[in-house]
Amino acid sequence: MDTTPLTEPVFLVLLSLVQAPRHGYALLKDTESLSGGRVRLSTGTLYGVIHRLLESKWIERFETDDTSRDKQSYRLTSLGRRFLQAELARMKQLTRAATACLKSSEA
Amino acid sequence: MRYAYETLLRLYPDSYRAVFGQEMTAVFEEATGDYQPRGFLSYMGFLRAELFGLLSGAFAMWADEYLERSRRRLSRPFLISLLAGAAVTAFFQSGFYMGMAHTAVIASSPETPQMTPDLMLPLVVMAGGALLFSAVFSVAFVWNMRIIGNRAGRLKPIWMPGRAPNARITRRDQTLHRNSSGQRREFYRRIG
Repeated sequence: MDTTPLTEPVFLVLLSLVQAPRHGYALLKDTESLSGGRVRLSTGTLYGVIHRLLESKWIERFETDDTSRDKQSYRLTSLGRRFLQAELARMKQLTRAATACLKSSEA
Repeated sequence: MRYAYETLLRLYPDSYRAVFGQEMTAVFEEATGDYQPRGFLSYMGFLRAELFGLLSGAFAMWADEYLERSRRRLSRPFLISLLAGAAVTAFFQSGFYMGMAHTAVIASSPETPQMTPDLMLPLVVMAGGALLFSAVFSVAFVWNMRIIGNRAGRLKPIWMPGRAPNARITRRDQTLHRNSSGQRREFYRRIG
């Protein structure tokens, strides 16, 4: 499995899709709220991320009742979920190491 | 604003625009509706971010597209043009280095009057400059050949071998390339 760290927009989009399938605008809003308003993706950035994730098969498009040409829904695939879990494990490990370093420097 | 956005979307490759164009426009319109009531500055900030996102996104997509095309088009004309560019470059480079070696042999001869240190420095600088120029020229030349060879065979350089249409013929009858292969064959048969 590829262990390259995910970029923040990719991570936020995956995180948003873990909760529920979403369409483009909902992803835009959700990534903003997940980052506490710190990250506001432009449509160009968002669809660049979606394009890459679709190509890597980490997410997929699917049909819903209100699916139209300008409102497609996306959901996480099992592969995407695995990558997200791996990224979370990597971040947890980093956090543990950073916390230990800080504690030892304070002691 | 929608019109301006759609115009900027034309910066993206066609394949990308066909899949995401309408969706992106719809999301942009929804986001515009969100930001307009928040005040002029907020709206301007949103437009600036959108513009930057579109430009950087288009650049990234074209980079992807270019890499993908390069992989697909490792065709004969492409390889020939690349090799021809490399051969011409090697010819000039070898001439340059042989000249340098020849000069060094003459300079090391005891019969040659030795240069004073005052003259050596400008000569070294000139030689370095020539070397740099040669390197830049080489890269530019090969890059140019790549671009020419990459034009789907339509603008193949005039000197390249093969029966595919070359630049001169393309200029003579641009429309022919949009016609059927039968018409093209007939054209090439007529011009021999």
